[in-house]
Parts: sequence; C-alpha cells; structure tokens
Amino acid sequence: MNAPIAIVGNWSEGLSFVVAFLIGIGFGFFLEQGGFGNSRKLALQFYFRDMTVFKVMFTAIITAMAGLIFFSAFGWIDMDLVSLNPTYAWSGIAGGLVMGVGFAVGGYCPGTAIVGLATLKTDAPFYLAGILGGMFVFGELEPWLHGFFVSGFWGDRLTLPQVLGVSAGVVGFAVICVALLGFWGAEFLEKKFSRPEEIK
Amino acid sequence: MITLKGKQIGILVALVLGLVMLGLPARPGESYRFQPAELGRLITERADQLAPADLAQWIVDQQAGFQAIDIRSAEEFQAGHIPGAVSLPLAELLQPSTLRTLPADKTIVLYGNGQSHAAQAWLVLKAAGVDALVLEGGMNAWSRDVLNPRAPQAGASDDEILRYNQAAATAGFLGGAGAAPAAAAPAARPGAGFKAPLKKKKMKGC
Amino acid sequence: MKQKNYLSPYLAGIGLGLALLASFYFAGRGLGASGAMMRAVVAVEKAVAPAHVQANDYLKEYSGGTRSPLSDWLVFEILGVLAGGIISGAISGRVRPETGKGPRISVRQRWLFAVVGGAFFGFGARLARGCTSGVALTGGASLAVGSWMTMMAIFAGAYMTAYFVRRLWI
Repeated sequence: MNAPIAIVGNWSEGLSFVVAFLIGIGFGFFLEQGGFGNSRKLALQFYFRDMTVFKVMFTAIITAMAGLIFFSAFGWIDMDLVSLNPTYAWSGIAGGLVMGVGFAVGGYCPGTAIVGLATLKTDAPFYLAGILGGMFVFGELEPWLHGFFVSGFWGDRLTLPQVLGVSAGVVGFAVICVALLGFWGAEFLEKKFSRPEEIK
Repeated sequence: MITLKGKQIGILVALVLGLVMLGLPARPGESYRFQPAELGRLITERADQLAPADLAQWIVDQQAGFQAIDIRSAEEFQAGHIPGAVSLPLAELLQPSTLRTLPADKTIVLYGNGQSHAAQAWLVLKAAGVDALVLEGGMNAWSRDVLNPRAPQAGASDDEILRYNQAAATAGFLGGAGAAPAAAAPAARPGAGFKAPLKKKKMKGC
Repeated sequence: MKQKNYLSPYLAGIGLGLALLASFYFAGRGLGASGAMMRAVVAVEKAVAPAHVQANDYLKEYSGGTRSPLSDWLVFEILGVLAGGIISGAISGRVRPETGKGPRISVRQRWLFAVVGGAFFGFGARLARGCTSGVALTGGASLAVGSWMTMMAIFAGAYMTAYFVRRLWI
C-alpha cells in the first residue's frame, strides 16, 4: 500500500504544508460554489427552506467514504495509517449541541465563515471574532471542565463497523441508503417550505 | 439545477457502488508499520527487555497477562523449556498467518538460547503491532539466574540469605517443571551459549 | 459581473468529497478548521502571556513548543480555503460586500448575533474536539463513532434553537 502518501513517502513538513494549502483551495472552492459563503442561505437549512447544507454535507461524506472503502479494499490506502477522530461521548454530544446553537444563531461554521470572509461578507469577520472569543473562553475554563472533557472515552479509533461488528462496506451501503432517503426527503421539504426567491 | 436525467444517473451510481461495497472483504492484507524512532526509544530505555527474575515472578504469581514463546527448535523445546511457554520456532513465528493469530490481549515474551534471535523477532512483532518483550539473556540467563541462584557466601546478611531462600524456592518450583538437563547439547545457532549444569537445591522456607 | 447561480449542491458535494478523499489519500488525514483557529488564539496568548499558556495543559498542546503554534497543517489548509473561496467567488461574481440576514432585523443586530453565534460555536467546537469540517465531514466519511454522534448533536442543537431565533433569518 503506498498511501497515505505523506506517511508512506515520509514527506517533509514543508511539502505537507504546501499540499495542505492546495487541498484547502479545493475545499474552499467547492464550499463557495455551493453557496456556503452566504450565512442566510446556510441558516435557512434549519427552517427547511434550503436544504443545501444537508445535501452538500452528505454527498461529500458518501463520496469520500466510498472512496476510502474501495481504496482500502483494493489495498490502495492503509487505513491504519490514516488519522481517525477519537470518541469522547459526553463532550462530543455537549459540544455538538452547543455548536448547533452557534450555527443557528450565527449562521456560519468556521469553514464557511472563512469562505464568507473570502467573498467579503461583512458578517463573517464578526462571526470569526466570536469564534476566537469562544475558544479563548474554553481554553481558560478547560482546567475546570477537564473531567467532563475526557469522560466517556469509548476509544481512540472507534468506528461504526467495529461497534456494529460488520465490514465497512456494509456500513457504507447503509449510509448511502440513508443519504439517498435523506436527499429525497430534502427535496420534498424544500418544495414544501421554500419561497420562490430563495431558490437559486 | 442538474437535469432529472443527471439525478437519476447519480442515484443509480450511488446504489450500485453501495451494493458492490456490501460484498467487499472486511480487511485487506496485513500492514506492518516500521517506526524507527519509537523502536529506538524503547531499546535505549530497555523497555524491550524482561529480566529472568521478573518473568519467574510472573509465573510464580500466576499472572495471566503474558505468554512466553520459545523460538528455538522443537527438539530444544522438548529438552527443556520455561514453564507455560509454547513452542514457535522462529521461522514459523514470523509468518503473517501466525502473527495474525497471536493473542491480542497478552504481552508476548520471546526467548531463545541467547538474545539475538529473540531481539530480531521482537522488531518484527513490534512492526506488526504486537505487544512484545525479549527475555534478557534468554534461556541461558534463565538457567543461570533463576534455576540456579548463587548461594550466598559465608557472613552474608540476613537480607541476602532471605533473598536466596526465596530464589531457591522459586527455582525449585520452576526447575521441577522443565529444567534443562546438564547433558543437553548446545544449539548450533549463533547467539546460543552453553547451558549451566543444573544443581538440585533443597526446598527451603515455607 | 452578474452573479452566477450556485453550483448544484450535489455537484458541490461531490467536489467537496473528492477534496476530502484527496486529503486522506495524500496527507493521511481529513479536513478541519477550528483547530487552526484555536492555534491563532494560542499564538496571541503565547505572545502576550507565555507563562499562562505553559501553565495550562490544554493550551500547551496547541502552543507548538519552541515553534509558532501556527506552524501546523490545518493553518495552511485554512489559508487554502480562503484562497479557494476567493477564486470561486471571483469567477462567479459573488465577491461583494453584504451581510446575510433576515428581513426583520438590522445589519447591526445581525453583526451582534454573529459574534454571539460565533462564541457559542467556538466553545462547542473545542468541547467536541472539532467543527463541522473536522468532525462531521471528516469523521463522517471515516465512520468514526464519536464524530457521527457529534454531527447529529449539531443538527439537533441547530434545529432546536432555530425556532427561537427565527426573527434573525425569516
């Protein structure tokens, strides 16, 4: 297996940073192409009027997921060498809920706020300032929150296939089915709730 | 907006990929990860070694979290081995199929007559992600230090005498199960040394 | 330049997914954003009060030791996101100063709530060890359990809050 290339090929830090920049360009490009630089468009997701967030997110997830599953099965990538998010159940859920509040109130998330900044959306810098402030507060409070922060540690590299005891392909199939159903539902909700001027 | 035809193609592609995924094998091949820096650290900290006295204590205490593996030939194993060890000659141990079946929840303690081959096997096991240790000095050190503890000289402190008694008790406990007979021929492999002649000790203490 | 229509969300999603896959394939990791921002915060803190950063184990992780906290993969990736956004916006005629908001509030009110929303999100992102890109997209694609849980919590939290802040948007 010759990928992840940076690890197997022992890339220098400089090369990794350059590639990070290039990958970021692709990320930012498609975020903006999908309209994610616009905070109102993003927020309308939560009123069922514009389901772009759901559609883009899940299309991206199943695309990359399918890629990983097939590449791994062909021996084109060694998943053991790929970093995987750890599972801290309670802080994960709590943090997610708080992020949800921030998303609904602020209309952005960090990545999309950067894209907003890139296209001169004037609310983006305010949101970003808020993010920096919120993170600063977290850093200061962390010593007191530490116990909660590290609680519910279910595993460093816990995956759905492991927990469900099936192969990644089975989980992948299920996720694709759920996504397709979700897309069908999203189209339905959009037709029902959106106003004409909001469809672009 | 993409045309209806495009969406239908997309849905079809997604479903086909999903169905193919179902049939893919769970894990492809083996992956061996060689991390020189990590290995170097373990070696310099001597975290790759296990002293014979410690292994003896594990066996006496009936610790369950380890498995000793004898990497010498089957004949040498028959002639005498560490209690509880299993025989897995080096060539057989270093097969991917064997490595895959090593117990994942135990620390593997590797030993040969000396230390070289066990140390080499240790590198391979670590690359395969197995938790492993090398018995310091191998079977030779085991025979010398554990099975035949040196008697204290005249005028030794009570402390030394006590330790000797304990060591002798341990030796008796372990020596009886699989001590190497004094007449065993030295192995032809490099790294093998002589085997110290076994002296029977009287059981002392409780 | 007249503003072009947005790309279909499905095509944008595929593009994003391929960028994410490329990230895994080449760099052995997925995308992210909040980590870079935390490092920006720590970079400032380190310049102003280095002892404080050293004393706090959490902050120390991001402080980069003897180097700058900004010497990090995510920071360069985020700069790329900025560049990609500019490029896409430029070719689509969407680079123009405006504030996204609902019709019922003023621009300044929107700015205030943007700060508030950002603060919640920033705090939550560190608590969950990642934001939508790092957790939902990356962790989602790699099928990490904690990431799927966080992703569902984000949607739940947002939908539950949306009703109460509807004046901001609709």
